[in-house]
Amino acid sequence: MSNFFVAVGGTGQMVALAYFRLAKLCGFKKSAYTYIMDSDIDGDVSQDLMQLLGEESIPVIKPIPRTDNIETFRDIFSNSEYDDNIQPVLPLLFTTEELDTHIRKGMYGRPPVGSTCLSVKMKNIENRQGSDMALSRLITALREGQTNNVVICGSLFGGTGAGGIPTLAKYIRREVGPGIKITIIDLLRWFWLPEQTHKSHDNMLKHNAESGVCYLQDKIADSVNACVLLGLEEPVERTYEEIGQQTEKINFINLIAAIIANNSFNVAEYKSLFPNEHSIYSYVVPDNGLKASNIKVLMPIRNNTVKLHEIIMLSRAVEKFLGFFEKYIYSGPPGFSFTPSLAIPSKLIIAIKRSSSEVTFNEVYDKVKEKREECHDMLEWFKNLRDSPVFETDHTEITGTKYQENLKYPMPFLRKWINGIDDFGKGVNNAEEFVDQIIKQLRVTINEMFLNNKFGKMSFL
Amino acid sequence: MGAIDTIENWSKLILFVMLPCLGFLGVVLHCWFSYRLSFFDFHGDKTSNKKSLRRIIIPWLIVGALSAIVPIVIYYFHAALHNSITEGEVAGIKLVEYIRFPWYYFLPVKTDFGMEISIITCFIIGSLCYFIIGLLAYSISILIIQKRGT
Repeated sequence: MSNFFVAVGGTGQMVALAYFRLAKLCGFKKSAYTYIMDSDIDGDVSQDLMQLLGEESIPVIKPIPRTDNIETFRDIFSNSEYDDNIQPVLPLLFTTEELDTHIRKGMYGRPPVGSTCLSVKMKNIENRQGSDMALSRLITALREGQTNNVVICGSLFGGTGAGGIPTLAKYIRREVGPGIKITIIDLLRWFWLPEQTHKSHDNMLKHNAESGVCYLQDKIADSVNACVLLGLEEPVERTYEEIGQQTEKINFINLIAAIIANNSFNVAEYKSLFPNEHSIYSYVVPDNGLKASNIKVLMPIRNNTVKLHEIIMLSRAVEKFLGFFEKYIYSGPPGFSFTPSLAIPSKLIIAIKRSSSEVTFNEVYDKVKEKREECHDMLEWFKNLRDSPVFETDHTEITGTKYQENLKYPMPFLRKWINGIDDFGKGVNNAEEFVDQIIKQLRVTINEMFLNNKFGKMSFL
Repeated sequence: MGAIDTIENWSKLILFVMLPCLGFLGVVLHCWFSYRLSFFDFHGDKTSNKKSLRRIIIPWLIVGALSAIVPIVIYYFHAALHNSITEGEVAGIKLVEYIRFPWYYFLPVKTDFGMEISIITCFIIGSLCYFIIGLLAYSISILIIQKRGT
């Protein structure tokens, strides 16, 4: 069984960012295969996603029928053979604004454009008049597994998401059959644009969201196993950003959508999460706030549920002890010592020597530093979510004297952790794999010592 | 003349065996302090506290103290040696005139301040042994660090 996350449009990619941050904070060994569906992936959000996943490229499904000789939406209908018949009909079906949409950059919040583009593309593929490598790859991968899970996520108020998600979901179902679980996660309009100049755009988004809900209820629910609509009780204010210049909007709703995606991947019985097949599930984040301690996150182990704030607690502790470890193994050799080489734990040196490749101590140190900074960045992102008006967290720090004592005097803990790396280094090809092994041991040790084994045996690491 | 040989042999034993051993033990103690960084100051929360002069001073004081009591212990626990030194002469010959340099510095052979001189001598030589062995250990450690690349 494999999981696939298809991030549609800018919103989909923001949810994907939240999902992969969550997966990294939990330390999932195998999270999900990612696909992006967007016209333009040069924006900040796409780049952040690639950086987070450590990949040079993520398969991108372009929602436009072809890339050559196309500038505006009108161009996809250019066909010398039928031009005389098509061109007069177009203005009856689409507005001038829609026809003039520069689809190579995006769908500009116009679902009919997104939907039509993708439908034409799918039809072309079926008629062997076109192809899409990423889409073919996705379909092939989905056909391979037994019970694959696909989450298609995006917005219900934009162009690519509102238009593309239903079309893509139907296409996947048609191509792969009923053997896979398809979950759609659609974000309802969770923000509004205050500027007068963008009032019409704001109204358009509102209109899109309303039409989208009707469309999903009418046509889409049958093609998917569950369709989740998620919104805020009271949309928040946001400034307008031009297409192609959009940056990540840090809002708790992305994390909630990411947790729904995660839970649909990891739930043992799909029906326990979505009892009625082919139904739409609508959730609204209440205006008076959500508490991290009330949000359940399913781990990829049967019946293992943790609370969101416990994941943050674990990650904070990991970051702190990695920081201690970083200074312990190398913050310059210890001063006033006849034997500075002894300051590095011998078990660590033995484990490094055991690794099959040319892993050096310096590389290990650099990776430890890098991983700690990465963990720090993700926690900072989470910290920023706390400013969101709909999110509350009671505590995200492990309490208890044992933990506090170990923070004050971490050396006994560091020794206990390092002593647990007895078999490490075997089959390791590079410093990153080696450091991943020791961080895995760190998570297990923290879970055992300070979190009362809330994460179970952590076999998902 | 047997008493003179005994005193000289014991002095050699002090200089070549006992004091180097104490110096070595001091370095071993220092190594342990270095290995257990947290023993002095380092708890991982600051970068600067990985240095502690106490890691060197404490073993040095222990080595110095043990070296200083070496002549006292030998003088009081070796009966024959004790008698010879107390009498100050063997067969009418003064010990200090026949014991060769530098062996009369390690046991209280000299009549005036003999014990004080031997204590100071052993303290200095013991300390020197500690630092020489320490510097040797440091050279080896640097070679290890260079080889390991850290």
